[in-house]
Amino acid sequence: MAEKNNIKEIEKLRRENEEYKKLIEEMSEGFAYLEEDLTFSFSNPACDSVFGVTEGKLMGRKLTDFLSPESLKEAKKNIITKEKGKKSVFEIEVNAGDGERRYLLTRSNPRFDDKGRFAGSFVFFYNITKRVKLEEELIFERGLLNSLLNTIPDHIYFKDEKSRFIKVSKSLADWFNVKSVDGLMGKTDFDFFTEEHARPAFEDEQKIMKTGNAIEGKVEKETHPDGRVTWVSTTKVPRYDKKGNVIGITGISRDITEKKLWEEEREKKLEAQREELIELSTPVIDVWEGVLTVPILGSLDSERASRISESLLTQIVEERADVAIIDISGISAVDSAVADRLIRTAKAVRLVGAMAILTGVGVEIAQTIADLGIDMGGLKTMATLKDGLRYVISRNNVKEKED
Amino acid sequence: MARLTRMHLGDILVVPIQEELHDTAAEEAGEKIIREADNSKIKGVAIDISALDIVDSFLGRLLQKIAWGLKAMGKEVILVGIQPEVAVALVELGLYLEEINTAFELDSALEKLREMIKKGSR
Amino acid sequence: MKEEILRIPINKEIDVLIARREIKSEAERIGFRWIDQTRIATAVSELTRNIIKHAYRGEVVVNKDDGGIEIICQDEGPGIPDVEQALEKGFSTTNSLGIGLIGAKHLMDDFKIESNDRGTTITAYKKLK
Repeated sequence: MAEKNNIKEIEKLRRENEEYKKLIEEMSEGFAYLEEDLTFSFSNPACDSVFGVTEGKLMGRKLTDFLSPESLKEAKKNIITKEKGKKSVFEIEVNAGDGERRYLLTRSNPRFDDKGRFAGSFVFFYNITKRVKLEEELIFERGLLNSLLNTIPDHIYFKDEKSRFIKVSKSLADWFNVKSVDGLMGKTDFDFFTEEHARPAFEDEQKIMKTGNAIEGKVEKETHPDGRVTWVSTTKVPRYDKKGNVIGITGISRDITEKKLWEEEREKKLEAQREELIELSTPVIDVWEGVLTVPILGSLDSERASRISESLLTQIVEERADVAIIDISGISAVDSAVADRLIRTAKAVRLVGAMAILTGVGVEIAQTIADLGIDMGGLKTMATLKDGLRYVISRNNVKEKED
Repeated sequence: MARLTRMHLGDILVVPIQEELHDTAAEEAGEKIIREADNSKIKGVAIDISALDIVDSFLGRLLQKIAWGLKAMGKEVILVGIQPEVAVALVELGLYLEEINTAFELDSALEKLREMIKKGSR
Repeated sequence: MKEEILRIPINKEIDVLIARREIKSEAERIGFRWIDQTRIATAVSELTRNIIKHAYRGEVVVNKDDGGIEIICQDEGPGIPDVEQALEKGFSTTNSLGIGLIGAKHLMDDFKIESNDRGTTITAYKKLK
């Protein structure tokens, strides 16, 4: 009876053994038995496959043959262990027999013989190559993104659907005088700008998310709570999730304050020049081609006279004028310094190649000039502007006849 | 001394002063102009100083002397391209160059010079 | 506050060109209007030429302050015997020293001559307008 039971028992054990064997053979995870010195003494087909060798050829080879130097250290540390019942889980990188590089999550269970001596390990290998490679790619891409966010001087920011910052560049934190980019998380433009800028920017973003239309290179005036004003050129685009729903915006803003200030400065200068011309109230009138007329009105000091002189000379050269009529009939009084300036102007006009005619020289002024003994040196003077114009016309007619 | 460019346009000698000259070089250039014009074919001389943004009393007076010399030789003279700021400075230096004709551009200078030559020969 | 911005030795004719060119670009940098740049450069030309013609060597120093530019021309020449006469108009037409000095005086806003038998110092100032 006992013998019969024994046979049954043996039969059962044999069957169970077969089933385990089958289970192990068909397992998708790699399974192997490693000797003390890391020689494979058993491996299932899945294991052979991850190590890139033909079925059954792993036996007799050493795990160490397949490992990169770092993994070798890791494997020795984790597999050759003298402690009973200590399982270890770790990752190794193998250069498989088929030339592939694989990452394996490894679970090792040490075995001990009857006398309690370490006698090798049962080891499971899970192929995690795909996951590791994905991670590597992610790390690489995160590196690219971080370099963008940490080093590019333009302000880069990602906002959620409520226009809250979810990721920003270091430059933006610096812009706001915030120590770290974390200080911006969950905040909005309203926390850093005055309403004057934050409101329209917020409305822009909401519109972008609603319509899906990006804005490009928009020049924005940023007003800071401390009164500082900056200018940026901004591009904002909608950001979508996998399903195509808008989940926020991505934006980039470039500091153009300096350029803007320069432009403003230039505009101011131009404005000042225009005002100066108006103030001089001395239009330089192009009567007809080649003839400029300068009616001088009001009182004339030598500073104003010299400004008029400069603008007239520039105008003559720019317009290639050959006659300039300076009419002083609108001036009440002329002192010696001013008379001197006017005559010098006429002389400079001649030097640049045009003819100067001084008209509207009344008796009083003529007397001043005579009293001063100023050398008129071939300078033409006429009583009235009309006379001056008549003279120019007749002179041109003579010229045409001659030609 | 740097080379002095000279161009003959029919009976007109055109001399563009293309760079700033120190005094000795300017005097040499003046002599060259006089020598070049000493030729019966040349009836007029146009000296173009449009490249100069500074003309001081020395150069101003030298130009005056050259003009006098050329006139004494029976040549017509025109000074071309005095810049506005140069004109202002010359006047303030008291150099009105009244006996020398002027034009701003070479085109109109040549036109004026031809007119002067025509009148002079009548 | 007065600040020295240029110091150029004047020994040769070419130094006249260098000095006026350098000082003109400084005047431009400081913000002088274009006509004033030329006035200053022309005055420098006159004054430095006088050093070459009458003293053989000297130097020009340019100082800048908030109101404008100061040009100081110093030489160790024989000095100008009669400053008054040198600055007189009638005298100027026949005398190159005279026309240069009078010209420079007209081109600048302020003009001062100190001269004795050990040399001449001319200080000229142009206001930034």
